[in-house]
Amino acid sequence: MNLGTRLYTWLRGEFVGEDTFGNRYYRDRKTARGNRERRWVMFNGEPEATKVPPEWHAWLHHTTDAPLEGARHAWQKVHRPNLSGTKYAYFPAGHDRRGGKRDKATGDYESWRPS
Amino acid sequence: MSETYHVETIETVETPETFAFTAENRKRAEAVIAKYPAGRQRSAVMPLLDLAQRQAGWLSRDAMDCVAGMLGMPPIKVYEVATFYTMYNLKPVGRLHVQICTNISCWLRGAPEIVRAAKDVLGVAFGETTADGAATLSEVECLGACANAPVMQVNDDLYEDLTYDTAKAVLEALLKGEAPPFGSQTGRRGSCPCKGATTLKELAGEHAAAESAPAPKAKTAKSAKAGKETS
Amino acid sequence: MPKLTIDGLEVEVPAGTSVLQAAEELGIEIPRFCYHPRLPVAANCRMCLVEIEKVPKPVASCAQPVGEGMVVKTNSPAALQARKNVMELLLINHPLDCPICDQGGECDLQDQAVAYGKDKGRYIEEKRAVTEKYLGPLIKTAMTRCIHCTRCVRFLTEIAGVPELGMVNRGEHAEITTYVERALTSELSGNIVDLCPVGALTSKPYAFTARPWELKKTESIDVLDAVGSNIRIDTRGNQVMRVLPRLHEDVNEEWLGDKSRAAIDGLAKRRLDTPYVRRDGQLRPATWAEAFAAIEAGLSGLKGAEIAAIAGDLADAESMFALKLLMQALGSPNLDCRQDGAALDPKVSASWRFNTGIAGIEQADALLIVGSNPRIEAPVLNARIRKRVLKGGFKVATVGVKTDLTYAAQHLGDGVEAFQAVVDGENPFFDVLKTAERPMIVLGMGALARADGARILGAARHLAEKAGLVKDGWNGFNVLHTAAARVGGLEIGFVPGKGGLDTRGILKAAAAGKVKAVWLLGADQLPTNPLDSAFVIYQGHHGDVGAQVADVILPGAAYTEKDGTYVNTEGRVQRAQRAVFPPGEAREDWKILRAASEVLGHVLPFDSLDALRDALAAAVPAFATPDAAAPGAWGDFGEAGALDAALGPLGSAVSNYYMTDPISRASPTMAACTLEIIEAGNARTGTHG
Repeated sequence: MNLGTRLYTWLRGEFVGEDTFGNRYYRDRKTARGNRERRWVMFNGEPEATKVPPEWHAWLHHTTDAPLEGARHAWQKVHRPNLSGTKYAYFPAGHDRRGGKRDKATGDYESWRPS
Repeated sequence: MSETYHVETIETVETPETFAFTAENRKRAEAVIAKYPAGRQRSAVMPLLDLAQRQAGWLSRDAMDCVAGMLGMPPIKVYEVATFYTMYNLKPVGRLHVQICTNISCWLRGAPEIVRAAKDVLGVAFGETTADGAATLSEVECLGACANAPVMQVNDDLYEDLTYDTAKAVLEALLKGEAPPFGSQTGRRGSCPCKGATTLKELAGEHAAAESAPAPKAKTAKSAKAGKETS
Repeated sequence: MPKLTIDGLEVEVPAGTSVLQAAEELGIEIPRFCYHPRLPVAANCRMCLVEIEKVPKPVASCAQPVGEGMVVKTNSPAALQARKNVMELLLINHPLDCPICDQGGECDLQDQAVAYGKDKGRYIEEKRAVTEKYLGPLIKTAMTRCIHCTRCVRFLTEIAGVPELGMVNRGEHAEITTYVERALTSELSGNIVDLCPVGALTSKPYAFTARPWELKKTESIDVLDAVGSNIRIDTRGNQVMRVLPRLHEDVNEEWLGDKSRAAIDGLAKRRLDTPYVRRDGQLRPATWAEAFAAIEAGLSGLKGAEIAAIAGDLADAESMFALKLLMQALGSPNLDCRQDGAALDPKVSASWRFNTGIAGIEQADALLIVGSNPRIEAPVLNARIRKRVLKGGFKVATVGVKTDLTYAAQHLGDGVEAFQAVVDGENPFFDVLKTAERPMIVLGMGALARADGARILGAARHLAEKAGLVKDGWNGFNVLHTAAARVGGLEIGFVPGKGGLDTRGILKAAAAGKVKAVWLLGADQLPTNPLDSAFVIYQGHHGDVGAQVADVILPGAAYTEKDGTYVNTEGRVQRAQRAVFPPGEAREDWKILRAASEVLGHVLPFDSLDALRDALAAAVPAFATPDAAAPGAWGDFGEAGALDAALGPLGSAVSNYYMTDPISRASPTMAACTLEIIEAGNARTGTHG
């Protein structure tokens, strides 16, 4: 984590809240007239933008005044950061890492084999 | 707005029996075919289908194929003709084919009452045949007798100027095997206005009779003959 | 010639022309669905309404003959409004399923709804839906989409001559159907898919596989019969998705036979994609170098006369020419392109061509067909004969097994006796030919491939000379081929050289051990038993009959995979273009021959296709002028002698239209057609007598 951001947070930041993943969210204690309030996040662990869950994402990008709350629906899944490049990354069926068995596509042909 | 559909299907009735013209009908069919010049025999398709329908009561696919074979036509061209005209029955019908017009003239003059009468007597809905096969009830468009509405056609005969009661009486008589008089059920003649003729008050036959009664002049025989022909 | 004004422009057209055609003359397009220039006018879609001055109502321009001084307005407010209303009516029952419709993107209704329709529909009532119909393995139906233009009905009735479709019921309940739910038996049925202006009739094998805008279009030539129909090959990636006809007035007009259209799925089956070499009695995959080494070993020490080559029915002219040069270099006179043993005289070009020309059929006034069934050997050509028959004043007679040709033909007899009777002038049809102004004879492979084929050819020449079939400005002597490669091979001279053996001779000599090596260039229609002991090189694209007996297999390219020249039955030189690449290790055939020649020490004198074509044009001038067809030079051909009645009736060379070559034999669609059309038909006639 950037030392400058830490220092800035210590000097100017007002703690707003912490999400379920331990990321801490801050905003300016004072905002100059005519300026928009700054909002930022101190990540728990590696800084990675996709770690921000949607309820905080909305607040962070000034879409809402406060982080979203309210009942979670049964169909809502737990937020997951982008898994590309990790071992949990998604590969479609037919990808070489998932057996390479793919559906018929154009250009396919059946070759003759001597009986 | 969502799209809703009603599904159109062609109903064909498969029959195991095969169709062939009787010797008498075959002779008639050949007479019809002979009316048309060589190479134009297919013009005889409609009379032949009618003949086949009169023989079997309805047109099975086999009957249409038989007509197609006699005229050297592709079968599909016969199916086209037979399905186009509603008077060809593509499904078996009862001994009596009761067709009631519900088009505008008859409807304004009380066709729904006639329909009610028919349903009461026969106990079936439109498009159905009674369990004993005696009669089939059909809803049809104009039967070409609007001036005498409401109208019902049973096989080849038209029953006109019907009411609920007369329609019921006619059907009941027909079911019993009787032959009630066809035509207007109120005795109206020549489609004259319901309160009696306002013009041409004397009918041709009556005129001749009236003329011959007071022993008139020389041309009597001729006009009487003419009157008979036109009446 | 009436003169009329259309949109302020004056035009003079022959009397009897319709207003729509006159407008087309001026380049004014009037929208239409039911009108098609090659079909009878029906005037039932009402899309072509125009305003004509002094006529109170809008007029259907496709059915309105022009009149002197007519003033037509095709884009007046009244005409535009009329069309808008017609379009609204057509769309009442048409489903809005363009995104899942195969016609989407190439649909007349879609295009014209955008151009002439209203921007929104007002219809909120129930639409009608129609149950699907079964029309066989080639045509998929979605009859709810049908707008009842009856183009399909008119095509099958008029052009194909197989009236099996019709419109039953009427008004709101009208439907296009066969009524009896049976596969269409026409060999041209696929054309109704092209004719259908909406997505009611679509191609079953192509269903839901591609969208028109994803396809690469390549203009090419069909080789599955000898007509040389012009086609457009639609490909996506490296796969041929569909084949459509291309307009050529003198060859196929705008029609195409079902086999040419639908056999393409055979191009993805049973393909030879790597060279094979037989080791210890087993064919094993090999590299090109190993295959060539095996050929070198197989041919080494053999004398020229011990080597032979036979070209098959799908071979292109370039590869046959290359193989001929290679055989000459090896000193072999044993080559033949007539794998069925047809007795065509290689010396006289008139003896193997369809001299009258396909378009020339329309000028003829009498026709004798001998030993051929053009309906299954060349359906598009048969449609041309039918077109001529419908015009009237055309007498057709056949000698051979009686079949339904889709038009009336006098049947003179099954066997050669009937033909002999015509030749001798004993049959009255001789006088018909003699008195006709432009008489024709069509000689099929069913007659020429017999053992007495040369004598039948001689008798036919005799008849042609005696009955005046050949005269100034008219050559009525025609041979109808069944193989796309045949005429090309004869033009090139892929025939036995001095002292060389023909196909029958090669097979006999191979069985006797006198011919020790045979190069098969896609030849699959041979009895292969005689080749068992010989060293067989099979060069081709499908694992068919030839590959089974081969000692070395060289994988070649199919007609969609190479630039090739084909000569159709008329002698018309046409160029096919490559649409996709050959699969795997397969290569274009001329390249294989060029490479083999290097290994064998007789380098062929060309390094590119252009150089090869130049050499070919220098050797055979006809190849320098593509798309020209001329009658061949007349001469003395055929043999004299009695015809052999003991060989049985004259049949057709083709027994099953849907399976005639390695591609169609590998095609699942063609197998389905065989099952559902031919075998179902046999079963029907079997039980119904």
